[in-house]
Amino acid sequence: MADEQYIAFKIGPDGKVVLEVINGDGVGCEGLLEQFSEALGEVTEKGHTADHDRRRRKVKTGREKVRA
Amino acid sequence: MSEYEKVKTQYLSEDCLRRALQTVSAQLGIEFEEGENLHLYGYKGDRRSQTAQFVIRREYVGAAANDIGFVNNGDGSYSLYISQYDQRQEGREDLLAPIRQQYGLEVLKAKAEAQGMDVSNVRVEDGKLVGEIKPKRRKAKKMVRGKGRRRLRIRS
Repeated sequence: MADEQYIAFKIGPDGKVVLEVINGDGVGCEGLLEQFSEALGEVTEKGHTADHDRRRRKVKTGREKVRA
Repeated sequence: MSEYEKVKTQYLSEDCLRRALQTVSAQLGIEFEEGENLHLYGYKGDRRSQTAQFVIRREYVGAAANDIGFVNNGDGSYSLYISQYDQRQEGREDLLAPIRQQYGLEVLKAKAEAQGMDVSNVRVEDGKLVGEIKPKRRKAKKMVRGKGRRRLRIRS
């Protein structure tokens, strides 16, 4: 059974909010995250967490090996 | 974990600001006033030219403090009005930080409700308000036999 996908949030005392999609690899969560952040204010940074980048790099390396 | 966004909170919703002030007032045992053009008063009791829609009077802000107000910018958003003196006072953050955090939480709750989701597991970790936004769990509908059943008539 797949892990439940949800959004985790952290609201700092300075009013800065970090929203993060947990267990989400799909593109669908991007739009949802934007809707929440737009309601809060100004988006100062967006991207992917380190483990997501590692996963993507791994796939790329595999393809390169197949081509070689 | 994959996607993330960092947001600097702005007071864009009057309803959420009101709810945040109500919650924080109850938590800290203070009061706030709401009105069209409430004058702000200085630490000596002198009436200032500035007006605001939401005001926390100086006696609740701290020693030798001025009133703190939330001013309507005219576009539905609000700005915090706080004197330079009060900005430098450390104790003021004990009041302002919970308002900022509660406002953020109220916005997330309102947005989650509109999306058919719930804010849950809210807690404080290292001074940060932490929680989760998850889809609402639907209750399973009971099957009622007999009602609404269609009968098929087959004509030969």
